[in-house]
Amino acid sequence: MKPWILASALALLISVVGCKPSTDTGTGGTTPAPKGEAKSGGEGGIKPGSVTIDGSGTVYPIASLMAEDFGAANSDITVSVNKAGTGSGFKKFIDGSIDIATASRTIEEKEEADCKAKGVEFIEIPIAYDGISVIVNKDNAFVDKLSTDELKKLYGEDSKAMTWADVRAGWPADKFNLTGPSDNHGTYEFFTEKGLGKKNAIRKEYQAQQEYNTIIQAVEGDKNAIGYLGYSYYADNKDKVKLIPIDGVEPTPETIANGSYKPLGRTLFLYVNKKLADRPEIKKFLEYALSADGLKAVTERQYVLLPERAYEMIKARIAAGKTGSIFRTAPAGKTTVDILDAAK
Amino acid sequence: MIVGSNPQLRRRRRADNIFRWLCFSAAALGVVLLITFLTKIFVGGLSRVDWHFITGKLSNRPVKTGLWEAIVGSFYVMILTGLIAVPIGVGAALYLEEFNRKRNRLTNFIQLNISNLAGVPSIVYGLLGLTVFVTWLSLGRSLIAGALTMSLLILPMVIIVTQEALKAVPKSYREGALALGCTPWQAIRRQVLPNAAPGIWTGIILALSRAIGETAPLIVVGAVSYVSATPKSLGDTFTVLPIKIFDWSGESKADFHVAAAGAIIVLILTLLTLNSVAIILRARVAKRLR
Repeated sequence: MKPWILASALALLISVVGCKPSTDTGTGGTTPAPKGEAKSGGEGGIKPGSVTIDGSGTVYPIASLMAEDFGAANSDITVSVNKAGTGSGFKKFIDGSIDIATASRTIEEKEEADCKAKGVEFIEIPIAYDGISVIVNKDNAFVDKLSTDELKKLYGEDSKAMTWADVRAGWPADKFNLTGPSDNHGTYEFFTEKGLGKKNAIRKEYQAQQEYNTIIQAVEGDKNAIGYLGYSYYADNKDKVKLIPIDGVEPTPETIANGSYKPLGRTLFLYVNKKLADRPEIKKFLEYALSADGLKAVTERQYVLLPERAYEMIKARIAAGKTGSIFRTAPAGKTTVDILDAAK
Repeated sequence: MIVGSNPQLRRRRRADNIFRWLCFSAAALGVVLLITFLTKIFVGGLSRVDWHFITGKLSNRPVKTGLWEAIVGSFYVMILTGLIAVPIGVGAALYLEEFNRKRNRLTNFIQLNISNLAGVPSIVYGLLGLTVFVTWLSLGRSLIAGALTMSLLILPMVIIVTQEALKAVPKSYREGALALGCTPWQAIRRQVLPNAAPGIWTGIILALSRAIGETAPLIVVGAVSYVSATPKSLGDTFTVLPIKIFDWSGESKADFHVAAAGAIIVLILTLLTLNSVAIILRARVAKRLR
C-alpha cells in the first residue's frame, strides 16, 4: 500500500512531463513546420506558428510594437518579445532557443565563432539608428556640454577624478555619481567601447542598473548624478532630465540620422537564424518589419530610420540569403549605406 | 488605599501604558503601510481599470493596453500548478501522516527536508526549473516549464498544510473505521480525507495564490515581456500578471506606470477573492469539527 501512493505520484509527474512531444508538433492548428526543423530547436523554444524574439532592451520598444501590430494582423502567428539584454539575447540565439536576437551593438567575434560552432548561420539586419544620450539632473546648471575626454575623466577605468572640479576647472567641487546600464546591455558595451575607448572597462564607482527607468529615476533624484541611455528613453522623459551635447553635438533625430552625433551614434540590429528565415511565419514577420507599416514602430518610439535605400539593400540581402556580419568588421566612420554598398 | 495617591503604583501603571502603546504602534505600522500603499495604487490606477483593461489585448501603447494575455497566462499557470502539485503534495502528506505514523530515519529526513524547502527563496526554484525543466527535459521557455517550477515552489507548502489538516482529524475516526474492518485506505478515503478536506483546500488555495503572485522564478524560467496571443498548448510561450507589473514599472513612459498600478489592482482583487474563499472554507470546517 505504501509504495502505491509514491508510485502514483511519480507516475503523474512522468505523465505530465511526457506531454512534451505532443506540444512540439501541432500547436493549435497553426502552420506546422517540417518536423525535423521543429526538433532542431535544442531547448525546444522554436515552435511552428511562433516567432520568439529576445535581446536588447533598447530595441525592445521597436520589436514589441512590430510584434503587436503584426500579431493583430496575423492571429495564427504568436510573436513573443523579451528584453534580457543584448548579450543574453545572443546566448539564447546561439543555443537555438530563440528565432531572432535584437542587438544594440554588432555581434562580437566570439559570438560569431560560437554561432559557427553550433552551426547557426545568421542574417544581419540593421533596423534603426539610435544615439546613446548622456543625461544629468535638471538642476545641474553648470554641465552644458561634455567632450569625449571629459567623458573618459568621468567614467574611464583609470580616472582619478572624484568631483566635478576634477573634470573641468571652474565646476563646483561636489562629488559626482555615475550611473548607466549593467554589463549585459549592448548600450553599456557600446558606450565603453566607443565613448571611453576600452570595451567593457569602466571605473568601479559606476552604479549599474538593469532597467532604463531606474537610470532616469537615479538622475532625476540626484543633483550630482550623470547617466547615459538610448535616445528614446531620454525623449520619453525630456521634462525630467537634462540632455548633454557631446563634442558640441546634441543628439537629435537629425544629428543621429546624418551621422554627425559621434561617437555615441549607433545602429540597432536584428539577427535572424538563416535556417529559420525560410519558415513562412518568420519570413512574413521580416517582410512586415521592413515594410513601411512595420517601420512606423521606429519613429513612433522616437528612434531614427535608416535611409530608404538602406532598407532596400537589406531586403535584397535577405532575399539573396546573405549571411554573416558585415557591420562588425566595417571600418570606423563608414555609414550604413556605405557598408551595405561595399558588401554588395 | 486610593490608587492615585501611591507614587510607586502610578509609575508602574504608566510604564504599563507606555508599553501597551509601543505594542499598538508596532501593530499599527503594518496597517498604516498597507493603507498607504493601497491608497497610492488605487488613486494611481483605478481610473485605468475597466472591462476593456481586463479583456483587451496586451499592447505596448500604454493608453490602450489590456491585460488579457497576462490574465490567461496567470490562470493557466495556476491551474496547471494545482494539477501537478496537489496530487503529489497530498499524496506525500498522506504517506507521512497516515501510512507511516511510526517515524523512521527516512521519513524524519524527508520531513526535515520538506520544512527546509518551504523556506528556500523562490529565485532558487527558478534556477532549478531553468536547469531541470527548460534545459535537461528540453521543455523550452514554455507554459509547462513555468507550471512545473511553480509546482516545486508550492509543493512543500501543500504538504505541510495537508499534514496539519490530517493531524486535526481526531484519532478516534480512524480507529473506529479500522475497528469495523476497513483497510487503512478505506479509512482514509471515507473518514479522514472528507474531514480534512476543507483544511486541505484552504492550504491549496493559499499556496496557489502565492503561485500567481510570484515573479522571480518565472522570469528565470522564461516568461516573456510581450506575447501577441494567449498560449494554446503546454509548449507555448506565455506571460503573467506580475511580470507585466514588473515590466511596466520599469518602462520610462509615465502612462505605463498608470497601467502597472491598474494591473496591481487586478492582481490584488484576484488574490483577495482567493483568500476570502480560503477563509470561508476554514470557517466551515471549524463549524463542522465542533
